[in-house]
Amino acid sequence: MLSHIIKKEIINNILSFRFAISYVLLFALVLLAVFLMSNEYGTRQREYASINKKERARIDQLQRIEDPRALFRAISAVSFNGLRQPRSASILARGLDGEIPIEVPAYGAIRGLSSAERVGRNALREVFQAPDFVYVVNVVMSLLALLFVFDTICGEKEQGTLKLLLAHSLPRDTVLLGKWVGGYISVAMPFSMAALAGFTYVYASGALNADGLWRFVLIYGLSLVYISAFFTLGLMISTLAHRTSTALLIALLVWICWILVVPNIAPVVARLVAPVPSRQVIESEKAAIDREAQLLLSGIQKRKVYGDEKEVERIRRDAAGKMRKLEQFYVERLQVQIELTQNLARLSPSASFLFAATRLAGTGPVLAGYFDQGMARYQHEYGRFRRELYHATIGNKPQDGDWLRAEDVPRFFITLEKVADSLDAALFDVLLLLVFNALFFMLAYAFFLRYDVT
Amino acid sequence: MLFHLVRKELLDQLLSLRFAIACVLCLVALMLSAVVQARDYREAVSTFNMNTVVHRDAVLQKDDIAELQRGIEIDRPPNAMNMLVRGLAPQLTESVEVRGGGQLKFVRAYERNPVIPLFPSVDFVFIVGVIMSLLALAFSYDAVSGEQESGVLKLLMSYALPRDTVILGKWIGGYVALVTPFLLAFVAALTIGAFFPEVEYGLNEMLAILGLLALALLYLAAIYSLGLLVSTLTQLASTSIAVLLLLWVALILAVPNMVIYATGQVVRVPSRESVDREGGQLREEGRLKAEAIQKAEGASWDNEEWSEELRAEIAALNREVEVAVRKREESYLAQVRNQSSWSGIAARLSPLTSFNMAAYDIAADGMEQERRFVAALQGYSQVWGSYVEGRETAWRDLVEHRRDQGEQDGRFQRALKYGDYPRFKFEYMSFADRLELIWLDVLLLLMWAALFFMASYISFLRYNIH
Repeated sequence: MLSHIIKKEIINNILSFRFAISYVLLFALVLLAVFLMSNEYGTRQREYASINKKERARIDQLQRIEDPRALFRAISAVSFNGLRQPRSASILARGLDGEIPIEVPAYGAIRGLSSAERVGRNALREVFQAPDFVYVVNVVMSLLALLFVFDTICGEKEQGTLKLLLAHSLPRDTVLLGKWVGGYISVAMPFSMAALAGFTYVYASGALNADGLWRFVLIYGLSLVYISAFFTLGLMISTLAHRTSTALLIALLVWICWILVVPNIAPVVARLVAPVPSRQVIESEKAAIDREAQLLLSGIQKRKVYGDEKEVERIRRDAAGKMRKLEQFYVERLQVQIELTQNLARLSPSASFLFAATRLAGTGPVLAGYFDQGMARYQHEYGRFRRELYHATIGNKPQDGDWLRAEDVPRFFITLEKVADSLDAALFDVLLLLVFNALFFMLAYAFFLRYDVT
Repeated sequence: MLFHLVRKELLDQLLSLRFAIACVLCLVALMLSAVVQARDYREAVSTFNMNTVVHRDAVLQKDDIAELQRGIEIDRPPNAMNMLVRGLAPQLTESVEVRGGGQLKFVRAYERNPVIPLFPSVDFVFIVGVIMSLLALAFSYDAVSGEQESGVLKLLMSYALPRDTVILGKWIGGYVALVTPFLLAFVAALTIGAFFPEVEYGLNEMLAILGLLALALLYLAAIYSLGLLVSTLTQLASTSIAVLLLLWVALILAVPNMVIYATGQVVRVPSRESVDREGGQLREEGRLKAEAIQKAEGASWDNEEWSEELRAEIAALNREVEVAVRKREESYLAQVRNQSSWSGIAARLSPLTSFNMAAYDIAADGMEQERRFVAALQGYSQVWGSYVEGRETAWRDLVEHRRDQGEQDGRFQRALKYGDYPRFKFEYMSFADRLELIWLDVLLLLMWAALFFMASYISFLRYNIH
């Protein structure tokens, strides 16, 4: 019996007008998203490769210099920038991958824009979100899923077919399940086809290795779970309302709140509840500590008491300790805020989906943390490398070409999670989505049992 | 007669569920965003005040002429319009390092909370552009097709009513019902801003707020008319809402972002890195040429011993290379500008782009304002450079003077003070300038509104009422 209902539901959907237009729309959007973002990734990847080549060429050039004085000058003048390879899964979920720079300076802060770059940049890219696969699923597919299902119960009631259907000896749970399965298939099938076509394009363009392929498959699976959550929500709304127009309005309201309001308000509320002092305040306090220490030190110098080295040492240590404590305080407060932001945003399945997808792609908030760690490590190692290089070049003429090997130049690297680890980390959000699914379905069932079909 | 129609339409809407939803949504979204933006603004003002004092003291405490050449830190004053429009500038206030000769160093804006960049910020522009536009469609999708379904339209047309009056009445009534909760919430949001003493509106800002409101109303009118148009094209309300939602998704959520990236595929720009590399190559070639000349002349590597002609020749060569490099750089920037302007034109396919861009410009937070800020900094950099030069000559004179009097060098280190250094003054654009920037977008929005309304009028004239 169930199969009959499923079949009827699928045919009903496929023959409807909205199926035709939403099919075209979703196919176009998914394909476009994958196509555009994979080209964009290709650009970034090429940029990475060519900078990499340039750095190699510079090392080769240095190796060829023989005059020790010229060599010393050349080495003092260059610094090797670290390079971060863009993630291939950023095609699907761009996340922070475009925001975090490719080139990492060997010392000092990350280079800002030059004034020409700042004036000449394409501002539109900052105004609108990047249209990647995850964006299309997050925003467009959730709306389409709701649009497919909002009238599945109340619409039939309005037409009177629901009454007819239940006149047969059909248990209500079978009806609901049949409607869910049939409706979901008619949403998921065109989506899967579009996704498959997009993935084939990416695969053919050669941007994917085995690791990336797994991530693609996982993100696709996650999208199915997310779409199903919204589909089930729509089903629930349909069993709540008795008129299609009401159901539509409620569905739209919930969609607006969950997609556009809750995730965007979350960072704001988190900032209000768990404020973090601004970076400038911390810096100025550090400067104050430094000034105080300097004053004390100069006071000691003026007294001209010899043998005060211990006192000097103590003052320096104190100041350093205070600064470390301040920094630690800042980091801790920031961590609290970040966690609160994430947890508040998780009130909406959209945020859960976004967190899980970016985690699977390796481009989520965690990338920022890995990047900071990697940069600190790289700058530290580079400092050591440079000191050693100085010792090797000062005074003595290098004997042969191997005083500077390309392998010896420290490499910038950031922690790359294995697919299994990413999945592990994303599991909480996946579970949350599953819970939303189950909850909505159970509620829909409970409401439908008591639904007034006349 | 029109009055009756408007009244009927208005009453219909006021009693509906969607009006209640619109009221709640507008109030919650606008007021929440007002609280947040006002707090952000307050923080920006205090940061700005602190930084200006710190940076002024830093100059005043300088006692070595060499330190002046290391430049000065300049702060951008926060813009009171940031209460409503978050704008393009990455931060509400920022410090820029300025040296003489047009050297500016912008500090990279780096958001410490990595979750925030994942979601767009909720400001007035976002609320109107995305949320209110969806509500506008919810208000108009069944204006004609819904009445057709319920049979009211037939009854209505049985009176001696011209169709233009009917459609005009519907437009006015529905639009007023849509705009009323929005206006109320907007006033409430402004009132919240008034509770923050830091938020001070000058005449410019007042006018800009009015302009922003007018823009929002115009944009909503365009979207509302689109809803009316689709409603007159369909016979069933459910068809009309399906079409409209898909149109909305395409126009508001997909077209602007996708078109920008698609234009990037069509109008290509070489990568920043390749331009740098070409510059490097040009310099390298110049260096090789200079070496060749040097060898041909048989001069030694120490340039102290060069002859006048050789020196002039090499200097000319260097200048030539620098000109070539600058030319390459400028042609790259021109290409980037070309790409941006093409993507701007293409993205204007969606009224949202027009609205967003015009709103940014009228809030003095768009690209033109960025340009003016950078230009002001560059102008200041020249002023600063000549000030430093003046101080240097004064310093040298002083040194010579005192040396004549037989003093030791170290004694007069602190003799010069820099309290009279030129201050950086920066004003946001005047309202007239802002208006000049947005007229094209305003025209576009007007055109959309007029086009949609006229199309809906024509299609309603031919509407099959049964």
